[in-house]
Amino acid sequence: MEYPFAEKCLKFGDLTIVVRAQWHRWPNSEPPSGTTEITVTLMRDGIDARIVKTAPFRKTDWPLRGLEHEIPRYAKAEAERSVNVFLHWLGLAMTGDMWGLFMELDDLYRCRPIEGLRELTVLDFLSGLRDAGRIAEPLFVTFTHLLCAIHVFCLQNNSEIDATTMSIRLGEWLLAFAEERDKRFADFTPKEVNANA
Amino acid sequence: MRVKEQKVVRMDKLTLTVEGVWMTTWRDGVERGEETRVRAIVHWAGEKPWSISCVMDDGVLSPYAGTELARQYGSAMADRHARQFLRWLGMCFTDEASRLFNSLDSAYLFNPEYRQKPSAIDTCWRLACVGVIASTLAITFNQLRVAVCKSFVFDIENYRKYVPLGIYEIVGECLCNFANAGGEELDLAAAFVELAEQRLKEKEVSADGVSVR
Repeated sequence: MEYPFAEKCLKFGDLTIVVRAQWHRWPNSEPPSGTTEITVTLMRDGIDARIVKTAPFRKTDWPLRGLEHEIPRYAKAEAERSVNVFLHWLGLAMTGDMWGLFMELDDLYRCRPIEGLRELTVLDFLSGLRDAGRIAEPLFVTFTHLLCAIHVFCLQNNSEIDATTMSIRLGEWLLAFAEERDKRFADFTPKEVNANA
Repeated sequence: MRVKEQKVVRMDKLTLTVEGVWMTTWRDGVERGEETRVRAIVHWAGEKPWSISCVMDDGVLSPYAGTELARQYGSAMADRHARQFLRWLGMCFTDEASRLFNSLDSAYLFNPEYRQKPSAIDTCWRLACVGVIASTLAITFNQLRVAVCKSFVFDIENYRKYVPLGIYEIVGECLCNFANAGGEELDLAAAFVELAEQRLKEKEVSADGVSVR
């Protein structure tokens, strides 16, 4: 059975990014368990080819024990949450808050053993680091393309704002976009520069 | 150019080959960069071998490219990474997550803590790379751990004898010693017995009240 997915789309210059998440139940799992998968699609105006990156976001098992009827609702909420969290992480990367990003990844994937506070077994640590690494890849690819789009935009429009400032500003918009639950699309191309071009 | 260095670890029915491969990478018909991979080949007796690999290092072409030294350099790189992988495998057995984290971090700099203005590109890229290494390590570690569990070490008499010493710690130490010594083949069972017996002797002597160094 296919569960509802969540999707958010953003545009900057000639780059369109679609972030989509869906919860998949593992076959015959009891209690109902599954994985939320994130798919990022990157498209450039005028180019047919697209880049698609998929990574497992989170595994779920125990919360759905005995709640079979709640699965579709859970799947939808989980998918929405995943899209927003991914966009939030992208925002943190754009604003250069690497420590914040790493802390959030560590919160979810537990990839940092802390002596005396969080003693992890080696296998727990390695699987956490593997999961963090898997999500870091689409994050890296999306981030790199956004950065390229910013540079292209600045060059093409003789923008007065430098690329670093624009990237920080875009990061802040992304953080706000991640907070908006009902907004599905956002065009972040700076309008005032657009009008001048 | 492609250079390979192999380290073989035998334990009971498992033959684990850790292969460091250094190679130059080509783009548009030009040798442009280099890459070092580690491949772990898992071969259980009577079964088909399978392997798993990860990129340990990649970058621009070394200054030795095209010279006679390139092969030597490649061999040293392949050997270095194969040994590093074995050392990390040893740390997995000693269950030192913090030490492993620090060691992986000093190799790949993925933890932004204590770093001045770490760039997002670098951190995300490094985290993605180290994630693949972690996955390879976890899979290899599990296979070798199964081999140890199936071996004579876990026969009831041996188990009783060796368990106070910490069986996995000794296995980890054997792997680290092998990686540091730079040998090509390790009979893990023999190395285990040798080290465990040595530890038992030390324990006996110290129990007698004689100081042991």
